[in-house]
Amino acid sequence: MGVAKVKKVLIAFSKKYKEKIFSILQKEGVLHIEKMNVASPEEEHKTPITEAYNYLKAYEDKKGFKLQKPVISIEDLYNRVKKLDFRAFSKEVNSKIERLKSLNAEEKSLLERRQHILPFKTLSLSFDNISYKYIVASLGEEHYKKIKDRYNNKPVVIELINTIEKNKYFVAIGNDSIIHEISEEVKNFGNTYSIDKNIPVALEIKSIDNRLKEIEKETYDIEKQLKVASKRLKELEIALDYLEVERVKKQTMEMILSTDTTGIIFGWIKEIDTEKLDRSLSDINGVYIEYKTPEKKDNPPVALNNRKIFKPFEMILNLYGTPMPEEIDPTPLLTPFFVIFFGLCLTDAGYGVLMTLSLVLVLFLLKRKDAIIYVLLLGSIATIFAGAITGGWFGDMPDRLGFGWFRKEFILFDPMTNPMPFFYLSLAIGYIQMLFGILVEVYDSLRHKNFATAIFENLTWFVLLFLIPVYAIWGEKLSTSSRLLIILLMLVSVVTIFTLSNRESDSPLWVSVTVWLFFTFFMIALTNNMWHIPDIVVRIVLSVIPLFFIVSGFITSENKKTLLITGLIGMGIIILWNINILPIGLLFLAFILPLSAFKGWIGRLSWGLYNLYGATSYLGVVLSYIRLMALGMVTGGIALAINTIAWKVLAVPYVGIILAFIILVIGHLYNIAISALGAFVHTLRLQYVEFFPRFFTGGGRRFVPFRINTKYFDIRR
Amino acid sequence: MYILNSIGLMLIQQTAATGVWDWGLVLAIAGAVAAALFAGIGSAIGIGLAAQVADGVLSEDPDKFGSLFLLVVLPGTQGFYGFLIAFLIIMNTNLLGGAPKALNFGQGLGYFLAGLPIAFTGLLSAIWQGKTCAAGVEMVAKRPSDSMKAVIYGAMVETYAVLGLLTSLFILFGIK
Repeated sequence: MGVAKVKKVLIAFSKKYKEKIFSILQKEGVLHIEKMNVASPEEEHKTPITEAYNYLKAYEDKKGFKLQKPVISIEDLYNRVKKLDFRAFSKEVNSKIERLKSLNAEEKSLLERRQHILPFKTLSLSFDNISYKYIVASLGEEHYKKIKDRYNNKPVVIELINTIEKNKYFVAIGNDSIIHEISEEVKNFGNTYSIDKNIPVALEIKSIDNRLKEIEKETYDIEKQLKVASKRLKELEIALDYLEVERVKKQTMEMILSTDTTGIIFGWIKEIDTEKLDRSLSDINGVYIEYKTPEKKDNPPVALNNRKIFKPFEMILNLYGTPMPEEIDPTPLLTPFFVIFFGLCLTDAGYGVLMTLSLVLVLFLLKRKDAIIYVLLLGSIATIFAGAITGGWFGDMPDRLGFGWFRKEFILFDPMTNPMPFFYLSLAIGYIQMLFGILVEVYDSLRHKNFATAIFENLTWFVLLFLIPVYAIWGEKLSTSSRLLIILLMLVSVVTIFTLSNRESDSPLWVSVTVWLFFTFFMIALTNNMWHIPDIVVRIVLSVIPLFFIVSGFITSENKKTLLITGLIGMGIIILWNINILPIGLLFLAFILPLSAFKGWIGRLSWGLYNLYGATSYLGVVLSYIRLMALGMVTGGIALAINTIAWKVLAVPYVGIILAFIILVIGHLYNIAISALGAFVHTLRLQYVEFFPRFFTGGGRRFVPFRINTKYFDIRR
Repeated sequence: MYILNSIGLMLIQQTAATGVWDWGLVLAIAGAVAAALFAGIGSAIGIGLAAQVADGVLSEDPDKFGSLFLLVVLPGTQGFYGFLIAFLIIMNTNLLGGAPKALNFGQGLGYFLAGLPIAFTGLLSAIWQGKTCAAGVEMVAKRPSDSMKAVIYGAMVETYAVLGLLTSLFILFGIK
């Protein structure tokens, strides 16, 4: 379970085998190599091959998702790459793509030009007199009329060529100054067109049309070629995977230290993999491998090592962080809670069945093995159970279809009419996870040999938090003696937290015991009326304190007098018993705390009080779990709303049933999506915020083995 | 729309039949309106805030759509919480059933007040969640592997909408 044992490893080798050794290491994929050298940062840049691949992908015939990556061995990959001329191929593809782009740009500009001059298609300017200027322009009706009037009798010819939607397209031919005046006018109110006087517009349009046809043909041809080329996409995939493997290898090779003749790899390896490493490098001469058990200051990377059923849930931990080397791996601990919480947040058996089926389909038909699918699958199965006990089957669908009995078959409570059981269930589950977390805390403290923390803090809190609800719920029904026992245990716990939870100062043991005894018995005496403790018991119990004072007064050398006097006064008060207990306590405190042996105890007790106040945070933790109920009810409520709307729509004549069907399908799918999102996120939160702080902080380094990482193929091992 | 229309129609018929406004019912409807309206507005703003930033990131790196998606839709849940309370008020007062329950003024006020917690916690938490998620989107742009951490911070804000929803639910179930 949990964190795998990691060994420190040092590999020294002769430099001539460097390439070979790294190939082997990459293939084995068991070594986490420490970066000893600042390697030149080689980012994954867009190579021409990637570019060609991405373009060619668009011309691929079969769209839709790939069912499964093809499996190939690494030797195969290298052999196949050798036979390919992928660089030439991608160059060819890229040049074709470039040609396509330029053709596209040309087509666009030609079309613009054609559109531009189309109104003048009947125009054919041809005159030889070079002293005449001309302008081809368009103006709005009014402006055109104005110009026409203004230059009526001037040496200029204005000829209307075309009228489109009140726009006058015209040509004016005349002497320089008048044409200049007209062009000024046009500049403000219309457009000018640059048309060569020697080429009739119709001719230009015709030549544009011809060119467009050519472009279309060439484009078609190139696209056809690309389509053919796209059959060779696989070659590029092989090449890309090969290049990536090589890139990672090169980069890693730069990370190690080396001299002219030898290289040294510092790294980490899981203990179970050491044999594998030895075996794989045994063929090579001049390799020296040394394993060491890591020390704390080495900060070894952390590899998780969980059973198969818990493995996918490592994902949840990885999202949060990596454990420190000496920490517990929370993965198996959170798995059952995660699954149950997810189910309770969804609480609809119909949704659960639907999700389970589709996830099983994804898992077995598409052979996708992502961790998230397993996690969601287990959550969906839990959803079926959670839905069944709350009677959610696509909301209240069975009732509406006349299968109401079916819903009632499994139902324990219906949150829509009686939400309180759900409320208590959520609290109870939260309470259980919190107590479980504290038990893990106890285990963790014991593991690190912090026995005091384990007993005086963790275990004490566990006892207290376990007993409070027990007493609150069943206290009245218990027998007097067992109730008394529970009360005593609770009081002892409270006092222990108050007096002993903070142990920073190093006062002698007898002082700690005194303080603890004093407050324990004082609390018992103070609350004896509340718990119906017989008077004589209180007196006997209380007299232990002054007795202890007197005894320790005889034993210790310092404070002899004060201890004896305090003890005697206390004894007297207890025997004569008639004064209220509170002043007695304060009197004791006034005597004890000024003693030099009790130095630092005011601070300790204040911290103890603060720790007791921490009980409110436990309350907050448990209350946080009500979100399970809230989210569960949202799923059920929205499902109910969708059904209600669908059944209302049923009343629409003719198309009602179709509309209702559409609403049901879209509505429920949408509800599944949004509710599953909420369920996942809030379940995660409960683990991270409510469960982890008990025993887990994270912040370790992740064990990242140097290995083959491919995108398009799965490498067979 | 269909629901709103039928509610409106119901009110008009009721008023026409009796000649007086049924203030209890009006208040209950106001509660439903507040819950759906404010929580819905909040979610719309929240998603808008996150989506705008996400669009900017996507323009640089379209492959991040998946990892940003959660962050963008996260502020959408408040709208659903509001809608749920609105729907439960509508159901409890039998507005859709054809004959609305006769509510006295106190009951109507109760329904109105039941709508308010989710209305306002929904409105404000969705907006702030949107801002948190927008910042999360910016973080994911730089550290794509940490997208879930940003989602968790977003979920922190949502806690209070969940509490508002619970309060609304409890009040709603408590009205006799």
